[in-house]
Amino acid sequence: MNNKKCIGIFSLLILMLLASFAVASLAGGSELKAEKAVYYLFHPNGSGIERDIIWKIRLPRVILGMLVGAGLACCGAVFQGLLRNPLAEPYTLGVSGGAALGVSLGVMFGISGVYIPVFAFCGSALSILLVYGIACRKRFSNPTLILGGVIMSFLFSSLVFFIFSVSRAEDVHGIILWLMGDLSSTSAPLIKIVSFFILPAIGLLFFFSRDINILTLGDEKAFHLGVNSKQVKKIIFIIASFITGACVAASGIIGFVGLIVPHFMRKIVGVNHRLLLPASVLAGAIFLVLCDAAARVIIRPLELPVGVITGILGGVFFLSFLLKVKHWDIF
Amino acid sequence: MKSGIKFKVLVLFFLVVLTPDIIFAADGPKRIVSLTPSITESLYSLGMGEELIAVTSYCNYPAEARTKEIIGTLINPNIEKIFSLSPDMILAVRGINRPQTIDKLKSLGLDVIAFDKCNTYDDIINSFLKLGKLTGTEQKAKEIVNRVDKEVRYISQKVKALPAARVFWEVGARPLVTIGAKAFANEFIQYAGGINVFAGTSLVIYPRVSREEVLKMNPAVIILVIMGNVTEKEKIYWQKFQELEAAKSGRIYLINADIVCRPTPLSFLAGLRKVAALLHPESFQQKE
Repeated sequence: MNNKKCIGIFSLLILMLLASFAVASLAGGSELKAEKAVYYLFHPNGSGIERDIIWKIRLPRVILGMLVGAGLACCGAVFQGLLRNPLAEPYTLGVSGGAALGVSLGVMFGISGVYIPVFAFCGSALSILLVYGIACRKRFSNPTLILGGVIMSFLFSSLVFFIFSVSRAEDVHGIILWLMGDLSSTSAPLIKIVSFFILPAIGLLFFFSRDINILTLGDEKAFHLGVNSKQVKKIIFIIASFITGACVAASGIIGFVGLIVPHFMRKIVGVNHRLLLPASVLAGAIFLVLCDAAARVIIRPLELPVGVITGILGGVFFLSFLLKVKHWDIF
Repeated sequence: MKSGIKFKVLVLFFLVVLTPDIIFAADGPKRIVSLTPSITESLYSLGMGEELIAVTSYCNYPAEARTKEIIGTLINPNIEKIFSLSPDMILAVRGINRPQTIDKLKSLGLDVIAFDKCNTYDDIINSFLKLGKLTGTEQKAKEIVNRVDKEVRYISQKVKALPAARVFWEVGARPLVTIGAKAFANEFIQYAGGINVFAGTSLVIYPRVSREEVLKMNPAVIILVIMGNVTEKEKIYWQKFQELEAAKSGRIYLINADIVCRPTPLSFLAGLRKVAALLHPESFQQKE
């Protein structure tokens, strides 16, 4: 891809990100006139309900949507490249299963809502460590990583179902709701913590994009090209998994973003991860923010779970794209 | 001298203008948002229908509740909408509404009161009295509670001498779910002169049981809480077991979930009347 086209694509993505930010801040769960919303957007020191709606309800949600969308899409791209597998996504390696277990235990022990993200994150960390341990014993090869991750997912989901069957109905209800994925209950501190985790980690992944490029050739070729694939894979796996863990802790399990956004971007900017990762970050943020805006307005005042929208919109959109494209190269 | 009169006039003016405000302000909330059907129903029975400004899409009783503004579903309320209505009191129930919702609303500086979930008749009564206190309708709440309590006692006294019916109370078909000793529906059975065949077997509020166990317990009455088309099929299913006492005597009943699943004093009484009439039709024919 030449430089000009590249600059064109990225400026378009950045423009779209700004546009989606604007659209999402104007589209909300209540009928607030667009000009008022714009006014308060530029006058953060005002007072009154409308100002609070924009600054305390809509913006935190939009920002969290951007962070989570960016994080998930970036991790999806990384895992697909790292594992050389088109089906890989942020949850493939068991992170979501661990988070679900953490949440179930937290809810079962009656932990209050504020600390549930901490439990989710601890659960993710546990599953990351276990998968890491399994893979380390087997030279960190792709099959062991994938199988280890899938096995851990099954193990964790069985444990979650075990907890379901012995806990109270309302607790089960609470766990399922949490797992459905939701951006509505964010707060400023949560966003600060999440961005503290996610943004530097995404930067680190950018730093490794050349190594990911080489890893997509396979472990053996990477070795000949002077990349210590085992070492690099370990580092990348840990970083990407912790981003996923932070996303899941902040917003529950939001599917599809991490799977389709990287594929879509790969078709547009190509397989070079130096371009693919930033493009996926931008596109992931755009996609999730727009889906969440749609979730809020489609059957207003009722709200849809955002996962429903990512699944339906993303699925239809991606399917039509898949049918249109002639050659489908992953690497 | 003149300024003295002025001062007095001023004081009088403020007394006249401000006093009613102060009195009314202390009187209770003016803009209430209810996040569960049971609270909506209770508010109406306390005569607070006017002050209730918005409800969930699940709040279908009483019928007037349908005319109120809707702020989303029970599980996924629209926080922005609630906030934009600037309520002075939001009433929620822990374990029914999500903790995240309650936390978020509180963090916006709204006055959120979260009740505990009612699992017993006493819980229902206490929650209702608390609601009365919060909304400045304590007297009315006490009146209703006294009336309900008297009637509940009357019914339970009346059936005391009668032989207790062994009841299987089914709330879910696939998987088969019943109620344990800690569910408030268990008290329907108790006060209506029956025994829940699974009351002693599980600590869980809504235990799963196997069909074999139900047959082994051989209940004399089966009560199916209506949950869609499945219930009718369940009735046919249980009727096939001719050795089952309830099937033999034809005492397999359907009961509307709306009547027996609302944790409010008045609905508890209505549910109890219904169950008592099913368990002891000979004593409660007129009551129905």
